[in-house]
Amino acid sequence: MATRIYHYNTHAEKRYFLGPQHHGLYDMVALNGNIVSNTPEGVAGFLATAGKDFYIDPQTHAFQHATIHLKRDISDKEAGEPPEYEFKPSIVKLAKERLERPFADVIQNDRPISPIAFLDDSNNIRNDVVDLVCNRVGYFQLNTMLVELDDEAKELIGDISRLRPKFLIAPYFCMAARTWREWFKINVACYKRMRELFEDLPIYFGLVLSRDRLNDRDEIIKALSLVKPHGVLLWIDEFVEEMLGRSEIDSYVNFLQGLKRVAGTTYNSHGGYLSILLCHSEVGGLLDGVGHAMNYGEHRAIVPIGGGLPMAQFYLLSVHSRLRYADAASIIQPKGWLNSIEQYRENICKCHQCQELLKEKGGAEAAFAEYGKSNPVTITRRSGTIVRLEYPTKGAKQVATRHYLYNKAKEFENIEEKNFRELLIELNNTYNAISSDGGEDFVRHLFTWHEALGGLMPH
Amino acid sequence: MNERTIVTAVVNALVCRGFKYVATEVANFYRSADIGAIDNEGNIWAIECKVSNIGRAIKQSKTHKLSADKVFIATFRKNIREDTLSRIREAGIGLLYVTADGLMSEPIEEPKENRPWNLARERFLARIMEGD
Repeated sequence: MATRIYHYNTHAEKRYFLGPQHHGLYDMVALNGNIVSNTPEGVAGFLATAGKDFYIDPQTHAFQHATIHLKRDISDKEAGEPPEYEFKPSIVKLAKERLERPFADVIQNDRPISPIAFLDDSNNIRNDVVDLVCNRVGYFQLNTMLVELDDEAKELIGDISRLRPKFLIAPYFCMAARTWREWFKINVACYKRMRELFEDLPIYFGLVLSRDRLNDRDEIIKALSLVKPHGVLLWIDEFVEEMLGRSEIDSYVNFLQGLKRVAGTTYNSHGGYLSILLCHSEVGGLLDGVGHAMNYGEHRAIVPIGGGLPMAQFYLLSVHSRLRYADAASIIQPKGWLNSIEQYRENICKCHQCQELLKEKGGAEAAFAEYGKSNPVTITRRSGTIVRLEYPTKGAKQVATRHYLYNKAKEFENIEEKNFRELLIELNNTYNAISSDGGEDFVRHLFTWHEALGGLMPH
Repeated sequence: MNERTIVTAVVNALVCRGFKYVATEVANFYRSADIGAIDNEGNIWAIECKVSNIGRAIKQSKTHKLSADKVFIATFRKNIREDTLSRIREAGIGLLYVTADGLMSEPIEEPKENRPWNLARERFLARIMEGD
């Protein structure tokens, strides 16, 4: 069965991981290095309760981008002060206390790490640096929680072997822009050294790419075939599956086929239903697992961009997409799917969250309305224009997240229970049903996926 | 000439016609309608005002159709391309023109009968009344 990976990004999200209703929905927890570095006791307590496999992303790539992305604005905006940036304390701790040099130098010098830190004058790998970095990055993932816990906490947790990650991730850097080959060479060197240093543990290769790197897939696969990674953790920059064209999907599939030949396991850290479909055994299980966060994170930009205003969203299972609530309503309402509880269950959703709301609210319209509850907010844009929008209530965000998680679990169930052909036919049927009612914009991806994946169909 | 001129002209025209409520920048889901109004028969109007980029207004209007009985695009009187006009008609949206001297015409295109979602309509109605 494909591994269902949940990203644990903030402690506030704990509520979606724990408790009997959530526990069966996922298999593995993806932790970011920042949260482990900053609150190791809190993470340890959470992991002990969750009792799930996990891994820690050391986030080494974060130090290769412009340092502004590691900073926060500390100016008093209300007093009209100009922006004033300082490094986020959690990043300072990760760099200085956990990963140390050369990551700590980024903070010290306010300058991103460059390939030069790992290369000598002849452009050869500096083994001393690679050795230092691998030791620190490996130690950080294996021991941070253990060394930070006091005896009382250890006693409370009991079996502290539960705090050992399922696998370690070798130091890695993003393969984008013109320096990607240098970074790839460094990534490979770090991977090899990690294997030597931690020979008893599975070591995964962090493969973080810009989308145009898919054009260099043969070169990447060839190099990886020489190191035969135990596993690959793939992250393609802002890879929005709903927006992909046919040729991009072909390149993606072809890349995964290559990885399948050279790596033991391949997880896509940030993927949607297209990636889940590619876990199907009838297409050779091109992926072994897919990750996402709590009602977000099926795609993610490598260099963080502003999050924008939160808006009410609704995951529409048949469309396999998280839609803005009003867009979901514009599909659902005209079709009469809110006319009765039966119609709602048949056409929209019958997850636990929806069932609960249908029962509690006594009707389909009232249940669906819960996902869109919001309050108006007034925003003044930089241009001075005033805009009024609706901001989802806390309750609406919570029910939408639970509904999303149940639906993602359902998608993973689908690939176990249905054959690949059946799943592709479902995509086409939904496309036809919704596009004919003027909803083409919301379902075009289903047509593209159907066309692109048709070639993989078993004969 | 800018969007504000169109908004002002349309608001003035609706007030002169005795509309019960006229509000600007009315929140409607993740968008806001430039104008939300209630006519003498109790119909709710949502109006998107645009100098250009009518295509974007058509998209925005789809959201407003969930909440309003009548949805319009208001723009300056000019030659709108025939294909844009057909898209407006196809979307069931009405079209209002504002003249250079700031007057609003009678509808060039009447919107098709729209059956909004009751819950969304009630919510939009409340927002118009709050903002009037």
